[in-house]
Amino acid sequence: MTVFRGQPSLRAWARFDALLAFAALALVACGLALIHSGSLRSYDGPLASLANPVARQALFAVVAVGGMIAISRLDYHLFLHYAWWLYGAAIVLLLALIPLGQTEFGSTRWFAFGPVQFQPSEFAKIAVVLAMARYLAGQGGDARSLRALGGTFAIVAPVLLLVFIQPDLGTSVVFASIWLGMVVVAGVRRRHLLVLGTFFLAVLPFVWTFTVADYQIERISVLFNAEEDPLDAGYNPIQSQIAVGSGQLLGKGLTNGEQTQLDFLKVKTRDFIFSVLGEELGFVGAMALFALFILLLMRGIRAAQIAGDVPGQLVAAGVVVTILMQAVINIAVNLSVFPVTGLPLPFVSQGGSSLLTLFLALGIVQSIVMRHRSYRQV
Amino acid sequence: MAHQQATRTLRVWLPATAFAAFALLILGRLVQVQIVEHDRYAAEARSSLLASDTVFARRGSILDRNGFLLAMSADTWDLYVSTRVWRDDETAIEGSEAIAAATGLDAAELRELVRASELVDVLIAHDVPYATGRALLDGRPPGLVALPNTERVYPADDLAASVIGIIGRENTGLSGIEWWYDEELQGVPGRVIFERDTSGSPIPYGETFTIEPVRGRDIVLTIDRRLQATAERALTEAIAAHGAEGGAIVMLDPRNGEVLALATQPSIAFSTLDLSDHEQVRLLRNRAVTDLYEPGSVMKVITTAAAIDAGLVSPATEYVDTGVVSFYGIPIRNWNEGVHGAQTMTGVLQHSINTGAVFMVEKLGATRFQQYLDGFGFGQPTGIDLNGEARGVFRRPSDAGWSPLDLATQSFGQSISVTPIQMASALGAAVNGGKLMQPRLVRALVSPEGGRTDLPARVTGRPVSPETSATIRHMLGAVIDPGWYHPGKPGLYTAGGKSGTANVPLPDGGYDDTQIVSFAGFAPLDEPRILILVKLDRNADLLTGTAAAGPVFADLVDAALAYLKTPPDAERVEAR
Repeated sequence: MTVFRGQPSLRAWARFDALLAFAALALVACGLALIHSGSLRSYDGPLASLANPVARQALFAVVAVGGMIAISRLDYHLFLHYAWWLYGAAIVLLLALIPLGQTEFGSTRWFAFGPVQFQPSEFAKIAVVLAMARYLAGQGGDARSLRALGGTFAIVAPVLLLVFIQPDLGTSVVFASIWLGMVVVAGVRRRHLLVLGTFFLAVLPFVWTFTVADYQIERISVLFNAEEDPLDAGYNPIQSQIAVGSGQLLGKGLTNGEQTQLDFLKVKTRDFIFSVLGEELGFVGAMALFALFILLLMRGIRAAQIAGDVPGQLVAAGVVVTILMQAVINIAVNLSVFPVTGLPLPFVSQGGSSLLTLFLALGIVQSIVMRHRSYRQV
Repeated sequence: MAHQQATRTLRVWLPATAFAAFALLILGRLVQVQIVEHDRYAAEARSSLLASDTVFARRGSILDRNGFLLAMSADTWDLYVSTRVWRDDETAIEGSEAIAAATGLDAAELRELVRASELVDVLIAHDVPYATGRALLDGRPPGLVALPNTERVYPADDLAASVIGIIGRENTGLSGIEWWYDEELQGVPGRVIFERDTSGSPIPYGETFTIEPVRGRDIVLTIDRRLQATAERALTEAIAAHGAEGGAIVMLDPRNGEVLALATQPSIAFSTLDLSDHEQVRLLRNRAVTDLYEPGSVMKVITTAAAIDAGLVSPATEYVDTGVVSFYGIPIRNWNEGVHGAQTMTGVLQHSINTGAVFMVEKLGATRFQQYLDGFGFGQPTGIDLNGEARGVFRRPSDAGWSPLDLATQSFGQSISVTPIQMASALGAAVNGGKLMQPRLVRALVSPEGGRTDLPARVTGRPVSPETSATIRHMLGAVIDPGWYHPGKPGLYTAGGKSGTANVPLPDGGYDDTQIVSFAGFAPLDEPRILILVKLDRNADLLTGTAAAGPVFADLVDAALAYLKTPPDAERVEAR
């Protein structure tokens, strides 16, 4: 029998994690400023126009925050209840990309509905987090048995594979991190992880040889020597490093970075938005961004800690890993310590479907926070 | 679904720990890139931002010896239209009408040209005069981009074109004086270093740093514009009158080697220059310097000078011409198969007797004759300041295949090839007191600030003594003034000279009846101020050097010396 408790009472709203929401909104605000600077060359129309990427992003943010509040009103067990359906839908959407998706920069990641783009892997992240939580709850709340560990592996593997063949190395790494993070939080035998880790290292050379595309190898090799190919694979690493490095301590000032404003940086409102920050706002700006992500991380972990039940704890942990891992990879790419991969910087990069997914995930975390006492009492 | 109470576990902090490790890694990298190595990246950001352009200095002018402009660079504009700006029809019409009104181009054609182009900026006009472009720019027609350029203009039109030569697009000389003195004329190009965007265009209001170009120097030629024009006209008329294929007139000052006029036909002309025409490209040389011919009897002057200088003969030395001389068993005859009987050496020159030249060269012997040829500069470049000078060839006793016959034929100007400038220079040495002067085309270089550097005359050898030279002058005077009519005798001035008529050697070594005729001489007789060599190639009327080129010489002497304000010879004026 499924019981959804905790219609949000006034007391529940009092438990709404405003700091978590603040961290996310501050990141969005930071993103709006950087998108403004990064789009000056390509957009010079009026401020309040849907053609203005800043206005569009702000509008998406408003819708997404509304979505977060709406979701937080709902009991998160509702999503856990439909977790398998959502997971199935994610698999279907990812499969449908193969014949129907839009190919951009050599990778098939999007559906296009007129002007609106939708990236199924964004949605799949939430679906996998929910499915994992639901499954582990059913297995006694941990992955100490080989069967439970195998089950979680079976949930993540198909999604990871479908994302990997798009190809999207960054998101694949995010899925692997979700899996690792959630089984660790749930509890897993060290021995099992060691064996799996050894196995992974053993098959890596084969994966490398047979499945990693040439361009991915290029992108990895330019990390070590970008000058090898300064105009092609090495271009973005070189230009983003120059941007960040020339920003120095205090930056050149918003809209004053030559690397940004003169188009040396590419996709600078999305994948390379951190380079814009590094160039124009400097080390100090980067530290401010770090502080916001650390705040987000701390409030997310807190949610996991106070969660009323095991699935809530796992979902909160999964969402935190999802967001933070994306942030880590994106920033690592901008600093040339990770191969170039098209991951947005969460909350900051321009992009509606990413923003929407992120706030919906935060809505679920809020729901967990707001209801932790109701479920604690069971 | 069973609701399980969550256990308060520290494991939830494990992901946070992992992220803390990541954060430290990233922080470390940020410190490295932004704080430790920031100078390097800042420098790289500058350098990928900087571009530079060459700014050519104004090319120096080329002037004649009296300071008249023959070639100069004028500021012009190259006009481009930005195709992006003209994508809008209204803007295109506005821009094209404005440009059309100023330049006389057709507005509709302009729009079509720009529309059809795939370039960002389309060149619509090259070398538009400075004032026209300036006025057009002041009106700011949309889409117009004007780049400053310079254009070579020739105030004296085609005068001395094959001496001056041409320049290419990049402001570099390609032939003639423009090539030889390119470094001096070009100066030092400057550079503009500016901030650019990824398309390479300068950023408006970006920083620029300019290295100013250093202007080139002006070149003052030895050429006199009036004498050059006179020589070119005389050459054109003579070629037409005698049905010749081409020719050359060299006029130089025998005292210092300065070339006063150098006319050649065929020659390039600035007004009709078309470098897509292969024939015109072949003419990017001065044929009086690059092309060889056999001088024929003019060479007897050198043979005589050598024999007199060696003390073997005097003008009065007699010998008997039988019309033929057997030289090592090979009969050598006179040009007209004539027989002249007893003759002096002066008579040998007057009647141009081949056997007489052989008589002298026999006395000289192969080695001594060759020493004199070397002394007069044959077989080596004169060093004149023009591109592609030919050295001339003759067979020496030390060469394979040399036979004594070569010695005999060289004495009257066959089996030895020379350039007109080389022949003129050698004759100059024979009549100027015995000094071989390097022929030259440039008197002085003038810097933009006005400092003038005169180039000194160069003596490159002393083949004969002053006494020999004086003797030769009078012998050559007797050639022109033999006491009977001579076509090469100037009306107002005393002069000396010698004709030459040589068959054109065929590739197989034989000769046919095509000929090159020439007349070379100097005036006035006692103190030569001018030396003139007139050469006509393959004249169809087959007249001799004396008959075809002699009158040209005589007229040029009268015209040139009068222009040079030399007093006429009193006796001749009276005789008129």
